[in-house]
This record gives sequence, C-alpha cells and structure tokens, in this order.
Amino acid sequence: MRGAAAAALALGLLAAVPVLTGRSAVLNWLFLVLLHAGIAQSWNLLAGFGGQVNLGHAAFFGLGAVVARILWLDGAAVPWALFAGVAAAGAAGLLIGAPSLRLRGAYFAIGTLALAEILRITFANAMPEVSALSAAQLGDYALAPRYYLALLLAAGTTTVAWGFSASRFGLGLAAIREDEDVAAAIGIPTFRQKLLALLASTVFAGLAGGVFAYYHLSFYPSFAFSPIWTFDALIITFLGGVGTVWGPVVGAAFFILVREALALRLAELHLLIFGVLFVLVVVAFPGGLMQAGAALGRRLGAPARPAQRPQQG
Amino acid sequence: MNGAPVLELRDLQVAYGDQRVVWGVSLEVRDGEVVAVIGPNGAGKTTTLLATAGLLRPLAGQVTFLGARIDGLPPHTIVDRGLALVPEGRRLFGAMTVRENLLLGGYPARARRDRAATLAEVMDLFPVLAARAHQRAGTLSGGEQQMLAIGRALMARPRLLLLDEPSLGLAPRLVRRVFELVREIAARGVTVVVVEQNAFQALEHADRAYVLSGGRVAASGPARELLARDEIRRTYVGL
Amino acid sequence: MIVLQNIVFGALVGGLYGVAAVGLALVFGVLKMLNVSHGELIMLGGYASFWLFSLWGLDPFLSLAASGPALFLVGAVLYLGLFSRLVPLHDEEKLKNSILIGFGLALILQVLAILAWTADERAITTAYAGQVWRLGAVVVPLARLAALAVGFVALGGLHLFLHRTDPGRAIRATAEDWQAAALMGISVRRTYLCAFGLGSALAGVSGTLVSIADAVSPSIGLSWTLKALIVVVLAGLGSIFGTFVAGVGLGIAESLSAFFLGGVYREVVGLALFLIVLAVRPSGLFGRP
Ligand SMILES: Nc1ncnc2c1ncn2[C@@H]1O[C@H](COP(=O)(O)OP(=O)(O)OP(=O)(O)O)[C@@H](O)[C@H]1O
Ligand SMILES: [Mg+2]
Repeated sequence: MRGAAAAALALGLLAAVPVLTGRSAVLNWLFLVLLHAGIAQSWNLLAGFGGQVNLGHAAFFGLGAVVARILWLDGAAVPWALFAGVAAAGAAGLLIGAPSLRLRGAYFAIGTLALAEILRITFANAMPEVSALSAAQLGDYALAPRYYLALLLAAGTTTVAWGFSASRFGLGLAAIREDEDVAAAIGIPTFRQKLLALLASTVFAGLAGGVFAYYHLSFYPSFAFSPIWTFDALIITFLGGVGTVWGPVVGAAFFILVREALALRLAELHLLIFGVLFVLVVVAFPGGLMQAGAALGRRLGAPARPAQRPQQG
Repeated sequence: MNGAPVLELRDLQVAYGDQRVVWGVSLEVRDGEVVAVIGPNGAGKTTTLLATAGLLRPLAGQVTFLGARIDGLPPHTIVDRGLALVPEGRRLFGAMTVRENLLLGGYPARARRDRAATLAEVMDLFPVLAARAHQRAGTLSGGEQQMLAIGRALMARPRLLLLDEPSLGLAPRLVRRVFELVREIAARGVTVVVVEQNAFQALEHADRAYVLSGGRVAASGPARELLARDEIRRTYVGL
Repeated sequence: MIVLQNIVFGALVGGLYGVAAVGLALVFGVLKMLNVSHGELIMLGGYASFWLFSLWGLDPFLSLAASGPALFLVGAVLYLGLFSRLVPLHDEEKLKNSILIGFGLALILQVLAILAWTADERAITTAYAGQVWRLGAVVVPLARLAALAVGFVALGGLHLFLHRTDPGRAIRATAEDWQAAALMGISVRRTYLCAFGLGSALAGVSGTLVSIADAVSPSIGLSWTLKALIVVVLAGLGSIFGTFVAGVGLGIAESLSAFFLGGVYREVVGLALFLIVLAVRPSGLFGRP
C-alpha cells in the first residue's frame, strides 16, 4: 500500500498547485504533461495491457474534441459537452472494434488507422474554418478548471490502468497479449475482453480530446485528428514503459520537458528525436520495455534459443 | 553394408524454447544404406530430422555430413551440400504448379547446372508428375503429392535423402509403392533415412533401423533383427 | 456523361492505388510484415522525380529509372537495419512490431522531408502536362493515362519476374512456406531482402507516377499507405492483377461517392468498404478468423 499512499500524496500535491502558484507558465506546463499522460495512458490501456495495436488513437481524441467543442461553443454545459464527446469516441471505438477485434492479424491496426485518417480528411473538408472562442468566452477563461480536468483525466486513466494491472480482467488481457490462442483455450472471453479494453481506451481518449477542446483558444477541427496525437501516445508509452501503470505518466513528463525545450529552436526536431528513440526501443526490445529487463537477464545467462522457430502445418 | 559414413549424429540435443525434446541421439548412416527410424508419437523423430536439415538449431551435439560438421549451418547451405529432406506433411508449394515445385527442388547451385536433365529423370521416375506438370500442386491427390514431394527433393541431386513419414495418410497400395520407391532411389546411389510410424513396412524395407523413444535411442541394429525381437514387435510394430 | 468522366478520373487515380498496394502486398505476403511507412517511401520516390525534373529537367517518365532503384536501396537499408531484426519473432509479434516500426519510420521520414524540402506541395509541370484526349464529352488527361499505363507495365514486369525466373519463384515459394523454401536451398533472409527491396522499388515507381499525376508533399505518405492497405484488404494477397483491379475499383468508388454524396465524403467510402469486407469475408489475407 506504499504505492497507493505515494500516489495519493502526488495527487494531493498536484491538486494544490493552482492554489500555491499563480504562475500560468507552471500550470500550462503541468496541464500539458497531464493531458499527454491521459492520451498515452488511454492508448496503453488497450495496447499495453491487451497487446492490440491501435494506430488511430487520434480518431477518438479528435471525435471527443470536436463534439465537445461544438456543443460547448453552442452553449451546452461543459460536463454535457464532454460527455457527448466521450460517447462519440466510445461509439466509434465499437464501430471499428466490433468487426476487427474478432479477427487476428492487422485488421484492427488498419481499421483504426483508416478511421483516423478518413475522419481527419473529412473534417478538414467539412469544417475548414478555425474554431475560436468568442470574446465573452475569452473573458471568462480561467486556467484552473482546465488544469483540474486534465488532472482528473490523468488520475482516472491511471487508476483504470492500475485496476487492469491488479485484477482478473487485467490478467485475462495479459494472457491475450502473450498468446491469444492459449488465452481462448483457458476460457478467457477474448473478444469481449478486447472490446471492453478498447471501450475504456477510446472513452478516455475522447475525454482527453474534450479537455483539449476546452483548453485551447483556437484550433482547426482537423488538427484534433492529426496522426501526431497517435504518435505522441505511442512514443510516450514506449519511452515510459508499455504495459506498465506509471510508464505513460513518467513518459509524458519526459516528453513534454524535451518538447518544450526544443520547441523554441526547431518545431520538428523533437519529433525526429522521439521518432528515432521510439524505433530504437521497438527494435531493441521487440517484446516491449516490460520484457526488456527479462531480455537482459536472458542475454547474460541462459542458453540461446533456436534461431529459427519451426512451424508445423 | 560397410560404405563410408554419410551422416553421423553425435549426442544430438534439441529443444523448443525451454522444452527439450531430443535428449542425446547418436546415429550413423553409411553410404548406400536405407536406414529406418521408428518410434511412437512424440518420440522426437521429426525434431531430429529438422535439426539435421538445419531448420532447428541443436542445443548440443554434432551433426557430421560427408565428413564435415553441418550443425548450426542454415538449411539452404545444407541442401546445397547434398542433404535433402522431405518434410512431414510434404509441405508442397500448393499454389504453384507441379513443374514449378520441381524446378524449386533444383534450386541449389550444385543442382541447377543439370536441372533440365534431372527434371527429365524425375519425370521418368514419376510419370504421373509429367502428366500433371502444369497443374497446381494443391490440386493433386495425396499419393501424387507424396510423389511430388519426393521428386522435388530428388531434384536437388542429394547424396542423402531424409524422408519424414512418407506413407502418412496413404492407402495401403500406395504405401507399398512408396517403399518400393525408397529401394529404387537407394539403388540409384542415394542413401536414404526414412522416419516412419508404419514400423513394419519400414523395417521390412530398411537395412538397419533405430528405435527412438522419449527423445533417446532405445534400440538399434539390422532391421531384420529388430523385426525379430519380441519386445520391439509388441511395442512398436503392433504385431 | 459527367458520371463517365468521374469514372475515368477515379480509374486513373485508382490505378496508382493498385500499384502502391502491390508493393505493400509483396512485402506483407513474403515477410509477413506490414510496412506502414510504404506511403512515405512513395513520397520519397515522388521527391526524387521532382528534384530530377527541377534541377536537371529530367522527364519524370525517364526518372523512373532512378526512383525505382533508389528506393530499392532505401528499402534494403531499412530491411537490414530495422525489419530484419523481427525475423526470428513469432508471427503475431513480428506483425505487431513491424507495424510499430513502420509507424515510427513514417514519422521520421516525414520530418526529414520537411526539414530537407519544407512542407510545401510540389508538382511537376511538363510541357505535355495539359494535354488531353477527348472521347466525346469525356476528357482523359494524357500524362495521367500514360502514368497508369506505365504502372500497369511495371506490374506486368513484376508478374513475369515472379513467375518466370528462379529468384522470382524463390520469392513466391518463401511467401507460401519459408521453411519448405529453405529446404529447397533458398536463402530465406536474402529472399526477404530482395522482396523488401522490390516492394520499396514499387513504392518509388508509384511515387514518380504520383508526381506526374498529382503533387507531392511530406505529408502525403499516410494517406497513400491507407489507400494501399484498403486495396489489399479488398483484393487479398492472391494476384497482382487482382490487386490492380481492386485499386481501380476503389478509385472509381471514391470518385463516384464524391460525385453523388458530395466531395466531403470522398474518403468515407474506403472505410465503408473496409468494414463491409470484414463483415462479409471475415478471414484470410491479413489474419486468421
Ligand atoms: N513446434 C513445437 N513446439 C514445441 N514443442 C514441439 C513442437 N513440435 C514438436 N514438439 C514436441 O516435441 C516432441 C517431439 O515431437 P516430434 O514431432 O519430433 O515427434 P515425432 O517423433 O516426429 O512424432 P510423430 O510420430 O507424431 O510425428 C513432442 O512432445 C512434441 O509435442
Ligand atoms: Mg513426426
């Protein structure tokens, strides 16, 4: 329970930040970390714990953002706007997941990629204008509620991740990730588990989108569907530790730190650095960072495994 | 049968991941012999052949072929040296034609030089393949597929042919035909190792035999002698 | 007539989808790896032709002789440096990790292209760019038609290579059963290298054709990857010709849905087709049921 106590302490400290400091630079920075922790953690819920690669996380983020934004600017109460965005993201998740998670192979990755890219182009065509706050809304704008919302997002996703790591449900997901045939053979309802994890993942991605929409003064709707959001989620999760509870949080802090430091010089540079780091991590530890420690142990000790695996049939 | 040694396995051990299934198999095959390897399901017969042909990397032990160590070499270089395997389940290229399968059998550099001549020889040996040359391999009957699998391996002009359960799933008449073929191939100067569940037929047609059980050699000797031994007949031959 | 015109335009674009898809399918079929940076390789091929044209005035149809081989080399380097590490993995892990590497690679190549050549859109304007062929009321842009024909010829060449030569048969054998192929004396790793290089070379050819028919910019990659993926899902891994036809079909479907439903929904048809295929034929090509 030491971990839980430390987490509660961290949460308390983070909750106190707006009271302790009026400096918006600090709040903005922490907001970005929390938002990205939420995006990455929501991706991690399905991909890290369940092993299903979602290449279109931006679709769910974008739907959450655009739906919440439209309703909010139309005068809906913020919680309702956010809820509608979350519902849209979850529904889109089911639309893609229900047919493609029944199958193995690359269908799910392709389906999510297709959803995100097609939504991006479609929204670029349908809503080409920038979405900006009105003068009245700008007058009301306060950072603290946005910050607390992001904190809620990060804490919520991480709590669910912790739940996945410590439950029968999470154990089932891990079994699916390791070997779906075996998981099915020992009676785990693989399709239902994958779909539920996808639902959790997309719902939180939608919430992250809503938080983004509530935070930004102006953005192009299609930008919320940019593949950059998916890249960020993958990179942060892999650098921090895919399939771990705290990896996405630690990764997000590191990511934002480096990104903001480099942004002044050259906007693209951080993407290049992180892209290279990401590929290196995937190549060096193809089993994911969780297995990196185990792999290191194997390399030092145990006998080599057969170089080529025979497959019968 | 006192030809020079063609293949020698010394204390071969093979594992799948952490699971060891061959626990130190030693055997020797001499030039011109037909050697049978029999044993129950899961004895490690296929695994031994796969490790010999290079598709599995042995955990320990040595494989010597024509006087040179070949363990740890990749499979394609082993074929090129003259060791061909007809794998369990035949593993034909079902979407490709019979002729293409045979041409692929003659892919090793050593065999490619006389590929046209070898192709004519193989078609001679298996007239049915000549008749079906442009048919997809996947559309052949079971017996025809086995002929193609053997013919394809012969296209490599091997010194040693390893056959893994060539009679599997064939009607009795075809099983006899396969073993006649084995003798015919041996008569042409190719040394043969045949792994079989069908122990009686295998022992009838082989010069010598090894009995594998639990990943170890349980018995070995001239095939006739093994066939005469009561405990072997009871346990493995089912007579 | 306007419908017919839409079909013509759709078919011209769709043929390029087909060429792009064949390269992707070749790599997938042989290596069981999905290179989702295929579109970025197309983008590089497009830039190669653009610069050869802008700097030295080389006709883009001639620069095919450069973009194909250049991308073959790029593919070979990517295979040797990155994708070859995945060869010993189990099927599912191999596929998953190839997708992740490709995704990272897509980002890297895109950023490099922005840094090297800016984010601007580039188009090649040859002397014959505006020439058209009139068939009654239907207009066929000649350069695009020629691009389509060249793509078709390239696929024909690939077909002959795969069916009539030893290395080609080795590639097909490896695609069907790599272990059996190894037993035939085929070096599986060399075959993988060759297939990855060929698939990338086809991306280079597609890129040149895109630069003729359309424009290139650093960000075009993802959408080309996506078109190629959808075409492969539609066509399966059966035949080169079938993939080409599926590409043309997707192009026509997009163009008609843009015409009937409005340009906004042009892209949605691809997603719809993908979902329909999953519902109707839920097995095969990319995975097991
Ligand atoms: N790919 C594999 N992964 C893990 N274990 C395997 C694999 N292939 C075989 N085994 C195990 O290795 C042992 C030996 O198998 P092998 O196929 O060599 O036996 P065999 O003697 O050829 O049997 P059969 O007569 O059934 O063909 C068996 O216990 C089998 O379960
Ligand atoms: Mg066997």
